[in-house]
Amino acid sequence: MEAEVTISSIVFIVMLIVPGVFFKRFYFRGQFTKQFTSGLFADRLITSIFWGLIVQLITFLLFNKFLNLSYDTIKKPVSSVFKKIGSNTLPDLTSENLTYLLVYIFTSIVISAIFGCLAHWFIRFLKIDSKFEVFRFANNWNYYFRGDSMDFGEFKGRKTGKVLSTLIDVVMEDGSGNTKMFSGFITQYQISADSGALEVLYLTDAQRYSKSAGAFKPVDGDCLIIPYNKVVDMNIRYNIRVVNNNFYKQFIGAGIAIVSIASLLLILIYPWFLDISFWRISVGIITSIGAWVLIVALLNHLLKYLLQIMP
Amino acid sequence: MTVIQQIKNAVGNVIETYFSSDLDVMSQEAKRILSNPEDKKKYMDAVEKLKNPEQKEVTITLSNHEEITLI
Repeated sequence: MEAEVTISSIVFIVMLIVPGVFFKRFYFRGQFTKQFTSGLFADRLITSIFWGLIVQLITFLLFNKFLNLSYDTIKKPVSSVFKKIGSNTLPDLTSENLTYLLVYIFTSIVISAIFGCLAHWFIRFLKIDSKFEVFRFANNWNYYFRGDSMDFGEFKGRKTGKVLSTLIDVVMEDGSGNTKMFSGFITQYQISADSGALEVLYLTDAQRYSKSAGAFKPVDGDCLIIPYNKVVDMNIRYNIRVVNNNFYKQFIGAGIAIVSIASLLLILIYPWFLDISFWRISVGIITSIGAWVLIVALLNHLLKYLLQIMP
Repeated sequence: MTVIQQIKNAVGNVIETYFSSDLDVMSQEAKRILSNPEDKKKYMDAVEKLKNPEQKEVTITLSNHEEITLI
C-alpha cells in the first residue's frame, strides 16, 4: 500500500506538476520572470497542476492521433505495473515501454514550453494585460516604465502613439541631507523577487542638474545606477511617436493585423486535424509560416506605398 | 535601396512586429535611433525641446529619410 502511494506521488509530480512548472516558467519570462517564484506555495502548486493537466490532455491527444496511443491500450500495462508494485514485486517493463515513457515525458515538457511562450505572446501582443486588469502581470513598474500604462483605463485618452523611450527625472538624497536631481532614459531596472518592490534603476544618457548653472549637465559614463532606496521623488515622461491618424490606414492596418493573426493561428492549428503524418504536418507548418511572413510583409509594404500616393 | 534589401527590411519588420516579445524597457526603434550618432543628436534635441510645456510636438528627419513626430 505504501509503495503504491509513493509511486502515485512520483507519477503525479512528473506527469502533472513538472509540465505545469515548465508552462509557467515560459509564461512568466522577461521582466515578469520573478512572478514565477512569488506567491503562496499552495497557489503555485494548484496552478501548476491545472496547466499540467491541460498539457497532459494535449500530449495524450497528439499521441493518440499520431501513435495510436489510446486509453484502452495503456490501461492494461499501467494497471499491471501498479498491481505489481502494490504486491511489492518489480513490474515487467520492456525497453519499448521505457522508450515510450521517455518520449511521452519529453514531449509533454516541450509542449508545455511552447504553450507557455504562445500564451505569453498572445497576452502581450494583443495588450490584453494592459487593457484588462485580471490578466495583468504582478510587475506594475514594467507597465509604467515601458509606457504600457497608457493603455490602462485610467490613463486612456491622455496621449496616443507609440512609446519609444521613457525619460525619468529622479530626485535623490546625497547622504548629507541635501538632494540632487538626475535625468536620463531608463534602460533597465531591478525589482525584489519577494515583494516586487523597485530596487535599482539604470539610466543611460544621464544628466545631472547643476544648481549653480541652473541647467542639466551631462554625466560622464555609459550607465548611471541609482539605488531606489535613495530616491525621494520620480517623474516619468514618455517620448511618444505620433502614429499616422489617417482613418484608412488605421482601418486597413487593423484589418491586416486581424487577418494575419487569424491566418497564423489557422496555419498552426488546422494541420493537426488533417489525416497526414507528423513530419508532413511539421514541414507544412514551417513552410506555411515562411509564406505567411512574406505575404504579410508584402501587404504592409503595399499599404505603406498606397498611403504615400493617396491625397 | 536594392529590392533584396527592401524585402529583407519588410520581412524583418513583420518578424519584429509579430514574433519579437520586445520585453526591454526601451523600444527597438529608440535603440536603433540612439545607436546612430547623427539620429541620436536629433532625437535628444527633440526630447529636450519637448521638456518645454509650450512645445507640443517636434518632427525630426532621421538619416534614412524617415520622418518622425514626437509628442
